[in-house]
Amino acid sequence: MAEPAYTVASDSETTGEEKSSSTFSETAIGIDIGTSQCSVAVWNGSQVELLKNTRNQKMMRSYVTFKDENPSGGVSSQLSNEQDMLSGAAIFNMKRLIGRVDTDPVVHSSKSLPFLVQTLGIGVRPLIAALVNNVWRSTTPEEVVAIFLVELKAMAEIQLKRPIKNVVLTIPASFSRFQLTRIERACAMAGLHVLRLMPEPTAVALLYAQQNTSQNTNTGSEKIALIFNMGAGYCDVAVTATAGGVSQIKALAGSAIGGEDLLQNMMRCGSGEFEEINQDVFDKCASLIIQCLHDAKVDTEDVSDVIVVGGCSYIPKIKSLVKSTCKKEELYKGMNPLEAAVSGAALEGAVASGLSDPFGSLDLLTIQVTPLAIGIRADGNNFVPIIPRSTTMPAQKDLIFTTAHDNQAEALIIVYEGEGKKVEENHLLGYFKITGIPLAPKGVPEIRVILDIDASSVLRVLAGVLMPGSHQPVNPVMGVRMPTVDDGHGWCAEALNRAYGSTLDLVTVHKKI
Amino acid sequence: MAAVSSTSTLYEVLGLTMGASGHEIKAAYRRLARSCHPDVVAMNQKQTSANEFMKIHAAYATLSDPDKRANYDRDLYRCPQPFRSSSYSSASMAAAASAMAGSSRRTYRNWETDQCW
Repeated sequence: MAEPAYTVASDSETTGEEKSSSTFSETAIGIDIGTSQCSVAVWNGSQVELLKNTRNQKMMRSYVTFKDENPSGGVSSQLSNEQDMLSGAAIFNMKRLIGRVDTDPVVHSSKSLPFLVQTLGIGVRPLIAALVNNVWRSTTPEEVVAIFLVELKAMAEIQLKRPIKNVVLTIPASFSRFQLTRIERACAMAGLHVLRLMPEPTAVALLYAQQNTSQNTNTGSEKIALIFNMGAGYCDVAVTATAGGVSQIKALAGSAIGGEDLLQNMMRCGSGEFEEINQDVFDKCASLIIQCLHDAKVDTEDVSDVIVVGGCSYIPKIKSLVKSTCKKEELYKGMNPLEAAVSGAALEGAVASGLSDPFGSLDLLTIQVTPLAIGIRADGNNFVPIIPRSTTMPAQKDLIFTTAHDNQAEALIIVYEGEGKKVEENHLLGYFKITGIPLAPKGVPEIRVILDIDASSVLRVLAGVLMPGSHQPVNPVMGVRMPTVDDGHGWCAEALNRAYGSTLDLVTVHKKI
Repeated sequence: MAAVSSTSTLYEVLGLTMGASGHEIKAAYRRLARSCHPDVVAMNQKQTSANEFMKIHAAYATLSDPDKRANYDRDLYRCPQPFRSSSYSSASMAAAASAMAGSSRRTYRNWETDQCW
């Protein structure tokens, strides 16, 4: 087989030697691919610096036009006028569509955009196409993101005068693990190697930790900050406890709501008070903050700083909403709201590349948590979390299930990620069957399911059968790396249901106390 | 890296005595995270450090919560055998889990690569 022109996603699984040599030979850059704007930053030896394109812009619009032979993105080219954006030739908002299927409400709300978003409503990826000379030319969110990445990479290589391979990318907290594989895929298509994927507010938290190192290294007293990050496509919240350069993420929350929704509501309603027509969006923002504080077990009076960043941080209503929900008079002032996330990614890039700084500016560590719960389908159509959201990573948790029927010899392990109580409200990550369960009345075999998120954030699902009185699994344990589903989650789950109904079901075992 | 034996008390895991203050518990957790977290160790130590860090975090999670700590302290008095957290003590499945997550990773790579296409 010929050497591929780009690196495959599984490169992250290379051996230690390969990885460490590539890791330490260059400083990874930080990239923020926003729904509406993207940016690149790098540690320049003494501080974080945002890179500019040839038009002297630090923030570049996230779109790709398919007008000519070669598609071109907002990093290198400039639209001649706003009309191009509306003609159907430009594809944008891809961060909202990547890794989503055509039953997703976020996909449906994108159907009013000028380019084609075609849905069949069966749980497969939507068809996305640009209008070129009166022909709909199909593309994919991965391809569009890869085109920005290629342009950002070329821009950085010219300025830094070296090849760029390793990157730290910021991602919305609400992205499922399946969506992360799509981002990794786009990076692979662009010839980039993902060192870390950082939820946006945790990148901001790292910047905050760095800004605070000088103040509390010696005292060791912990400062708690709430970070609210709202851009065009996503709203994310994190609570972090910081001391001595360690940013311990206590909780994460996020949702696919953003400036785009505010804009669409205003276009749909035509008239009306801004606050009134967007009340749902503001309510959701407040509920994310409340949920995050609750998960972090933190009261508003324990919060030292409230940090509001992202494009929507300029909206007075957003600022006042965050202040009132957090019961604070003032917001943290030490950050540029548009540059905070990418700056944090650049810091992480420098730290992950093994750089150190004589003044201790890179003496940093982020302790991350899972943004979404991960679990399996059991007790009928219920989602039973095994690793709850906001669990510190790496993590390993297990739960015991049992058979739903007498003499049930097989069981399906169907793994989901999300917050919904019913499985269909969550993202399907994969499935497999365990076989050879000894014939016994229902409730007797113990089916132990272990979820393991390792040091590289890789998820593995293990399942084995134990019979009463024995500590040895009756058959070899099944171990499956997830996500395994590559596309079309919706119909996978439906097909399983059609083929097996409830015959291979599991139920939870209530632990005796 | 400090070796954490599976039979230590949660205080021993954090290198503290039973009288440690909440402040000392947090400081010890951060100090140990800085040396044991997988992000700060060499590539070939990632999995060992992941297991180590999970133990440190479990100890911190119990001892930094006043209610959980009180329960734990009571159990420690009542039954002087070392406390063992259920997630790490379970026998063969957990061993299978760590075996899969660790040493056999290399052999997993090929079919995963194929599958990705």
